[in-house]
Amino acid sequence: VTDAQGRLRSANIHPEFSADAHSNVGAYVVDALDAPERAEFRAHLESCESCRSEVVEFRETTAQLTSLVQASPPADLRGSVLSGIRKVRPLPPPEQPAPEVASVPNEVAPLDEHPSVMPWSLALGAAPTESPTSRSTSRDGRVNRVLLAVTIVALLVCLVLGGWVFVLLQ
Amino acid sequence: LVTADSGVSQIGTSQPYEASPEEPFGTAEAVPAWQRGHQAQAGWLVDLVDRCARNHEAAFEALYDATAARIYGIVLRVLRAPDQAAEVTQEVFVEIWRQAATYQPEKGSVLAWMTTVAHRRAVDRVRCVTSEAAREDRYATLNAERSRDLVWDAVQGRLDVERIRDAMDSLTPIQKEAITLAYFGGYTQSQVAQLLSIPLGTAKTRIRDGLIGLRDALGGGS
Repeated sequence: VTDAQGRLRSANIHPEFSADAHSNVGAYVVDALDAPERAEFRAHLESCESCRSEVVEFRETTAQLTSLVQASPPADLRGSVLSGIRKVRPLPPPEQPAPEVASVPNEVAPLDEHPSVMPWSLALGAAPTESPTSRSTSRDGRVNRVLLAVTIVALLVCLVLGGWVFVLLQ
Repeated sequence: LVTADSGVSQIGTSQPYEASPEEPFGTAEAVPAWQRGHQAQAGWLVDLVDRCARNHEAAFEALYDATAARIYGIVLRVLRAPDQAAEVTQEVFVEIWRQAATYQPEKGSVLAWMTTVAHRRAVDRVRCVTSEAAREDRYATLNAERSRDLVWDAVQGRLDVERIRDAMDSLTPIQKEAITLAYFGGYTQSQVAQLLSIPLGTAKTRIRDGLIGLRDALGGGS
């Protein structure tokens, strides 16, 4: 029922979104939107870069909140998950690393409709902004290399200077 | 919008990896221990997911062990029923295994990806439940929940928990309640508005402001 209503309502949505479309960004991240609101907000995301980056940031925030509710899963869950995955073939990588078009959510996954086929990009609301974590991995490597280079150069300069001073003193 | 933008730039400049190259020797000490730990863990998780995509079951086992308490924890928190929570957790992990190749590090951390999938699944399950009894049960537990603070069974990461609890405490009580109902309770924003007897617009604002507050409190690391 909700789904049918949702489709109806989204069909009637005016192409230009209301000025307060941004205001749903928090509720979107905590999954507090109903199906039609969610559809509307996902459409808004396509054209709103600031909301996309806010979605990415808020998701890092809510991920941290899960520290507060950690609980030991039932002992038999591990075994049943592991035997579960043996029957499932991992999907191949997406065809193309997808430029801008694919990084924008272009399809709506209604709340009660097969969430199992929700790809990562849909699940995430697909925002192109770099996350701090991803930056860290590439950045750490670069910083290390720069550090190494600076150290070597500094050593060489010391050697040359030292040698020169030594020669002068002689 | 203005606050959102300034928030973004603020969080960008306060990230540890942004430490200026001019003073590279200072970074190791400037980065708090918890952040160094997080960076290492985040990179390790990316590597595990990467290997899952190539059918490495051992990597998946490690991923499960590293994240099961969180994933099961948030699902249980939303659903309340341990048997349902176990079921949904199983679905989530199988989905993570299946979708591993679609994970893109530039769109967020592994934990953000996994907890997003888990929370969404849990909420989907809650909203599928049409039984009036179940709903009443959920509403009944709400009052008990309000009176006490957040409960957690964390065995590890005490520091982390402290830090995040402090961030929660830095919110105004009304923001904290809205976030708790929406994220941990799995209520829609309309239900949050009803439960708190506030207009829908106010509920939206409290949820978003709450997230901004948490983001800023957690992001700076000071």
